[in-house]
Amino acid sequence: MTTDLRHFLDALTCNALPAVERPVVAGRIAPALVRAARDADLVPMVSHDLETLVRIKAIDPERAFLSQLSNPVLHPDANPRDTAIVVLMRDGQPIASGSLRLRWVETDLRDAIETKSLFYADPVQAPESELLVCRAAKARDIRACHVIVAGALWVAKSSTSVDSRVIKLLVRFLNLIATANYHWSFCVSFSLPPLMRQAFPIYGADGVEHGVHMDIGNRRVETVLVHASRARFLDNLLSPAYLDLGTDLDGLTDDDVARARQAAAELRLRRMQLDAMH
Amino acid sequence: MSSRPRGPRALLDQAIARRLLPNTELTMKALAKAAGYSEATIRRARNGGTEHIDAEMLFALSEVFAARGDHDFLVEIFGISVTGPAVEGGDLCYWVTEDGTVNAAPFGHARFVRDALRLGPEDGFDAIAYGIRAMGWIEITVRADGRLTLRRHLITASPEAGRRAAEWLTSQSRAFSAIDIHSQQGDQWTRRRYDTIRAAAQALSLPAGPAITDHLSVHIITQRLSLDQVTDPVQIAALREWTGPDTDVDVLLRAIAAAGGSANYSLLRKEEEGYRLLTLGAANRMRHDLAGRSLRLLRDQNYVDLVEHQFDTLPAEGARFDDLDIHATTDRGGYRRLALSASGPGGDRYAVTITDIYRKPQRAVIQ
Repeated sequence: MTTDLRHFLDALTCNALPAVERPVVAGRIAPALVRAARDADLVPMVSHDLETLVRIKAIDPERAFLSQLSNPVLHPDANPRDTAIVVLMRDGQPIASGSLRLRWVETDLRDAIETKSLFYADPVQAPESELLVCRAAKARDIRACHVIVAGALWVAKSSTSVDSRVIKLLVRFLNLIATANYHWSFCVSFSLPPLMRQAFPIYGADGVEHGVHMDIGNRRVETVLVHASRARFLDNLLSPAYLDLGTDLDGLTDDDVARARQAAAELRLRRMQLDAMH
Repeated sequence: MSSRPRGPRALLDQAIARRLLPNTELTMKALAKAAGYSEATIRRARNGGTEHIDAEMLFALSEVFAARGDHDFLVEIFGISVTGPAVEGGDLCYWVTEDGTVNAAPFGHARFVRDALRLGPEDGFDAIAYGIRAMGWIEITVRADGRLTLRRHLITASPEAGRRAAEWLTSQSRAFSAIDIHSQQGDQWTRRRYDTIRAAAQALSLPAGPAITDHLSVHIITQRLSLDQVTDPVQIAALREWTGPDTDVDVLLRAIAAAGGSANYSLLRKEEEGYRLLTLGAANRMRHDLAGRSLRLLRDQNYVDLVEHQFDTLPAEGARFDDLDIHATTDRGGYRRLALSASGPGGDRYAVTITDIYRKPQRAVIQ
């Protein structure tokens, strides 16, 4: 594996989180997820190098998928400010991985999809035979903002049968680093229709919409647009019900989170009063 | 750092004085209430109004200070430690947490963070770096050789922790051979040395970064409009003077001022690292100490990214007019912003923005 892999907590900056939420997310949620991973014999690691995905593809060529956004040849300038790859390791071997790319959408998401500027650093590199059509109405509302595009999810076959919690943990770690480290307005991903059922409980989506058609080579793929606002992601992270890792959260309850948020809000109010006094 | 008077009563008086207003936020009334004694009783003990000093009262006072992370009260009076020092290789270790508590870390800084997070050494992460960067805590180390080192993150450091660290510092009676404050931003650390406790405390009590506390854009929707859609008189006046990216920035600013738009414009200079905010119109709901700073230092990086992307199109296009609908953590605002590219002395590039606020922001409930 690549040498830039480091422990998830070493990669978590939390500088994109509101100050009132940071103690809860950094102090309770992130460690609870790490403990949950440890209980499943997993170590969460983070890389900012797309070559990591190339190596995973080499390990498991049948199941690992290298999308346009995760291809280092198409994105030679990918860097930690716009790229994060979460890898779950067991006994020093990768068991699951997923990637996040931060992309700027100038006009709207539909335009970014159809012109392929969402997927290619330089859309000229896209093959002419590749045709993308977006009919999802939500894509018109997402404009002039940063979006996180999540994708390239991979779970080793031996893991899926042994441990169903791996994919859930992987997505929780991805959602956490997306929200804590990056500034964006929407998170989007493209999923096959049979996987739609997982959009809400697993990916924490706001909505799912049919209508993204991809003609890639001689294949025509109908996908759904899975989208979530930043506020939704933050709410998910602060909801033990969504995190749903049972006792691995060491008894962290909705009430605990509510109390922590209330304490943070009171602290903020006191700070404002002190500022006003000065 | 001053010469110390002799005698336990004088030492008691000084030790208490150092821990009260104006050196800290603690008042005599609050101290007396927390210790369970009247103000008059404590005052008499300090100024010699009693024949003896009540040991139980001393213990109660030390407990109050210890709860605030200050374990040196009795040490200063009697030269002995009752609560036990925090030791790591001869150093004294403390963490100031986000709620403003000063915590002794007797088993070292890393162990304190790991215990707080309920993680172990086997989890293999840099606990001290996590405490500073992700938790927003301030690390304090009193070195065996008398040096004091404080480490904090410029963006994430909790203002409450900064204020409390300043109080702790002010209440110290010991002399430090040097006081260093290390500040982290990104992967970079900068060190600044202070000659006096007062100067270091002042630096700590100020917000670490020039940030808009808790004002974060949760969601921004912008719509690019045509320049034909400009209706605001100040924006029209600026557009009349603007002839392209080579327009002299001074000419543009004079036109804005003449049209009565001094409160609605901002001036930014393009630099290698991004945009520096030179002038900030009063109508913008931002803190005025931001003027002269790099936009990158704003806590609201979501907004910074948006602005930089929009301004980066300016050199090629010269002007752009956007409608911004910003949902922030504390309010919601609607703006129509005209951004114009201009040039200045030495070929510097500037962005001048004139903002028409058409929907008054409303306070929202904190989620």
